[in-house]
Amino acid sequence: MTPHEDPRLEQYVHRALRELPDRRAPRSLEGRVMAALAARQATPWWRSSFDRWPVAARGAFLLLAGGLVVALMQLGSSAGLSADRVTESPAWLDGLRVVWSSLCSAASTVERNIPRAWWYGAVSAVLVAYVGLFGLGATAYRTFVVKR
Amino acid sequence: MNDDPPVQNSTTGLTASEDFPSFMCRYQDMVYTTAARLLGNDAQAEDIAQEVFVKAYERWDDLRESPAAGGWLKTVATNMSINHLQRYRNRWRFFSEFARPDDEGEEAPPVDFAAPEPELSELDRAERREWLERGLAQLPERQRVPLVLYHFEELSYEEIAARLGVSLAKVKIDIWRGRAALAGLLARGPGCEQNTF
Repeated sequence: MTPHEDPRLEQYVHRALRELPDRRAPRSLEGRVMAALAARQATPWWRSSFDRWPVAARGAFLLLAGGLVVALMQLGSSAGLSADRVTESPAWLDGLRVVWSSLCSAASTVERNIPRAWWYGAVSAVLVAYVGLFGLGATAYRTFVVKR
Repeated sequence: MNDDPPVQNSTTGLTASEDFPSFMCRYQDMVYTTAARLLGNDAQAEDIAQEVFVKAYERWDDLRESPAAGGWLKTVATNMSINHLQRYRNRWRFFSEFARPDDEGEEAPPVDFAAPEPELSELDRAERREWLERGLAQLPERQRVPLVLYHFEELSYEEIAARLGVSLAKVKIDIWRGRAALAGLLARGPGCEQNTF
C-alpha cells in the first residue's frame, strides 16, 4: 500500500467532509432565477437560439432555406451567366485598385530608402517587447492569481 | 404536461408554475453547495446555480413529478461547474501550468494525523465546519475538484480521471495531497488562522 492509498486518512477526511451541512444559498438566487426566466419569456422566439424555436418554425425555416438554395442554383444555370459578366468589375472597385496600388508604391519607396539594419532592429525590438510583456503577464498571473 | 394555472410572480412579473419556486426552495442549497465546493468561489457558484435552475425550468414538465429531480439537479450542477472550470483552465493553461510537472510517480511522504478525534470533539462543531469549509475552498483547484468528486459525489478514481481528462496517478496524488492538507488543517483547528497549503 502506498501512502496515497492510506485508508485511515481517507476515512478520517471522508467522515469530516460528510459531516458538513449544505451551505445556504444566497437570498438573491431565487430573484435572479426568476428574473432570468422572465427575461427569457419576454424574448420573442425568433430572437432566441435556433434550438428554442417552435418545431413548426424550424421545419419551415429549413424548407425555405433549402428551397432558396435550389432556386438560386436553378436561376444561375438558366440565366446563362457569362464569364464576362462575372468578371466585369464595377467602377468603385477600379477606384479601390488605384488607391491600393498607390499605397503599395509608397510603401516600396519607403522600404527602399530605409537601411536594412534598421528593419532588422525594428523587428527585433518588437519581438523582444512582445516576449517581455508576455513573460511579465505570465509571471504576474502565476504569482498573484494562481493558488499554489 | 403542466395543466396548473400559471401564477403571477409579484416581484418579477414572471408567469410561472406555482410549484417552481417551492421546488427551488427545496433544492437551492444543495445545488449552490455542489457548485460552491467544486468552484471554490461563491459568486461563480451563484451564477452556475442560476443556470442550473433555468435549465430545470426548461424541463419542468419532466422534473416536477420525478423522484430523481434532486439527482438530476446535482448532476447538472456538477457538470456545469466542471465545464466552467475547464473552460477557464484552457484559457489560462499556458500561463498557469506550462511549467508544472504532472506529478506522476512522485513519492508521497506519510501524513501524521494521529488521534485527532478527542481534540476535535472539544471544538465548537459549527466553527469547525466553517473552518473546514473554508479550508476546502482554499485548496488549489487541482486538489479540490477531484477531492470533492470523490468524497461528495462518490465517483471512483477512474471516473474522476476520465471526467477531468487527467491520468489516474495524478488524480490519486492530488486527492491524497488535498486530504493531507485538510487533515493538517483539522489537526491545527480553527484557533490557528494561518494555513500552509
